[in-house]
Amino acid sequence: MTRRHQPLGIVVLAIAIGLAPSGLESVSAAISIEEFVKAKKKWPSQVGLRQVIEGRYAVTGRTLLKFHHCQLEFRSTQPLPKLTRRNSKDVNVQVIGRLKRDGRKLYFQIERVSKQDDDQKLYQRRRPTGPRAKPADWFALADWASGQGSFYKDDLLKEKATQANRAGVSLARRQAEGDLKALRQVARLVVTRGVGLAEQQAVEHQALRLELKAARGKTPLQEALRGRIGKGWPGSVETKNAPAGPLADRYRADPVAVYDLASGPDRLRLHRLLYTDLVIELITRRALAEGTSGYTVAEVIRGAVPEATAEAARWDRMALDRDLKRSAAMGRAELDRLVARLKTARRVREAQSAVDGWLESRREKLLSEGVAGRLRWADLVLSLKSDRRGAVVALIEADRLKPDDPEVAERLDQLGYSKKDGKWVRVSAGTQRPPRRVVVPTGVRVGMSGKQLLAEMGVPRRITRSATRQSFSEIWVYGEPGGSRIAVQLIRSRDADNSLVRAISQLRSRR
Amino acid sequence: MLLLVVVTGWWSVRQFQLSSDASQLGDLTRSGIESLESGDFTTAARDLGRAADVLDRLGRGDPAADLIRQRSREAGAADGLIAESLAEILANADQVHQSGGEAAWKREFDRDHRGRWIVMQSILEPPSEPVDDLDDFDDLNEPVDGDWEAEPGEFEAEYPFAVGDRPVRMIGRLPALARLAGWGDAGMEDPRPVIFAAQLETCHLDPATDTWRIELTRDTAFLWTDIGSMRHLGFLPDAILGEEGIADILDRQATAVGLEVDPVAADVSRVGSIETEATR
Repeated sequence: MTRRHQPLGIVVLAIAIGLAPSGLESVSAAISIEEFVKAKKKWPSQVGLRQVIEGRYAVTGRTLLKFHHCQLEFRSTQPLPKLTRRNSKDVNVQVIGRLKRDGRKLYFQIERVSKQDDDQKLYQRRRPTGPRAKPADWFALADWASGQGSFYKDDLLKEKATQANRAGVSLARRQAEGDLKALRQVARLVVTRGVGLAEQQAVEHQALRLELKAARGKTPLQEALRGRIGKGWPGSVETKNAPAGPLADRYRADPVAVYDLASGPDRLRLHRLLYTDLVIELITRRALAEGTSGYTVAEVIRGAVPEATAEAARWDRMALDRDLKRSAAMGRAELDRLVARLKTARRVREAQSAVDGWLESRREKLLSEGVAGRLRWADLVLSLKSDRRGAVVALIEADRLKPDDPEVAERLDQLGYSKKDGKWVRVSAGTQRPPRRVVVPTGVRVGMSGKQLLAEMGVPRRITRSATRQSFSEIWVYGEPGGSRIAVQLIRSRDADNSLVRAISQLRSRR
Repeated sequence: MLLLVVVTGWWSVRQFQLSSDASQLGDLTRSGIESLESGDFTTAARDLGRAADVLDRLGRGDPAADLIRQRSREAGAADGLIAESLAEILANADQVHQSGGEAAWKREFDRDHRGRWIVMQSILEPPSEPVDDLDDFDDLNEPVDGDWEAEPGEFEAEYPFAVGDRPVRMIGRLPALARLAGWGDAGMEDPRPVIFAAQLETCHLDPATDTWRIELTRDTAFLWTDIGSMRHLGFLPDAILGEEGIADILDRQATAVGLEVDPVAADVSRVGSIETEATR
């Protein structure tokens, strides 16, 4: 070619290249054997049309090739090239040619055949990677693998389809993190992509955690969520699903990750934890707003979440600690309740110290009130501490202040002392003594109401109650079993609220 | 031949009677439960007593039948309560005893109180070893190696009201106590009270211990389980334990006597099923 004709040659070559069927163009126009078979009715009208078909061959001969799931013969006028394969599934080929007629029979005239990567390799190559990968890319790959897997009954490829769906959902979930609306869409996607109930639950749980976070501090929203969790999250209202400490700790530290990896039974436990944490939060918020006592909060928690013993105990402890600080200012009934609670909580030493503090705060005033104050003091140390010695000392002092006061003498007599030569001495066990008279603590009298008795003497140590045909009888016992005890009988009619003290008696020591 | 005719006739009459009674079972149960709930213990005792009798004759041992028997016992006890409180009975005992002696008091007790029911909330204790057994030993400070053992469910209770200067003890037997959680646990510092009913057998002064002893008729004692009748008997309100505390005691007792739920209260249609099954 001369230099004059060179530009014209380039143009012609360019046109020739543009018109020539390129490999790239044929691949882009390629259809799968599955699609080709599906369009079987159109084959007669496609005779003579150049087509590019890809698929797995089932049989090859010298000049004949047949695809899986396709009865049509693919013939070649030239001997077919040798199609080497690494394994039984490495049988993907691309065939270029045209449908032709052999009499009434149709066949495909091969013009060119080339070996292709198998579906597994193709899957690997098509996997969307990199920062620009979208969930839709994975779902397209899943659809392709699923179609191929079903057509060729290839379980491995079907598994790859599931993997692609999972990867797509996982990517979608990562992109939706922190976005409640998007997470809900992902949850729906999990269903349509058939990824499984466990994954659906995991996404819904992640969404729920966002809702819980958004609802924090908003009681109506939290109450609505409590209702939803109770109704919709299996196992959440069953106490038997209470999780063990380590699981609960791990979950609270990293809820989404721990839930994702949890087994079915563990998830039931985590549902219970979700529910109970919310219930306890609601109880405590309401209690703080209404100024409810810690004991009541503990009681409500025990009723609503029986397994939350530690949390209930914590509230009890806080209430006890608070009460202990102000125990000296308490009334007698309140002190009795505090002491009983401390003993139940096995804080016996603190119970004793509360009693000591309470007594100490009254000691000076009572001892400044002469005989009456000492009588009261003796009653208190006897009933609260079973301190016979302290009571006797106070009573002897009272006797010194007002010698031969009958009430003082009676009390000392009751405590086993008698006056000999102006001095109080302990009466020996065998000594005959006149019949005892009931020594009633000051302030307790026949005819007073049960409420007044409660205010005066506090909660009794024991109560015996019984019904008769017309009335109802109660006996309240004060004092320790091993010490001085007083029994107060109260009577009321069956339908009345308020009982009245009918009689008072002194009980023998049960030592 | 005549004997065969008589036996067949007796059997036929009995079957007819049983079938007739069974057909009324639903009505009796419904009426009895309603009467119990309204505090009409006389009607409740009559109707539930008849229902329990039919159930016994039918050999029914299902939970609903057990519940009706329990309610029947409770209605019967509530209907036959003592007329005075034990404190009043004991005060009278002390007075009669001092003036007329033991025999006079026994006559009066048998006439007025024996066989009457008490319904009581109290702390019960397993019985202590009888003093009589210990008398056989010369030195009471020596450890006792006897083989004395209380029968299951035997109990004692301190009736905490002194008569004169004498304490009062109550003695009875309640087999279901053995199934009550915590019963007989000597380490329990603060034992829970029990609500029970029993018939009075005797009330006498034991000279050996200088103690008044109230003995309950053997095996009449049973644990109470129904909170509705508790209210009518006056156990509610309770200033100390509250309604929840009483309900908790009754729940534990229901578990001990084998009544986990209250099917009649929970599902009145059960009464119908009882009737249907009974008339089969």
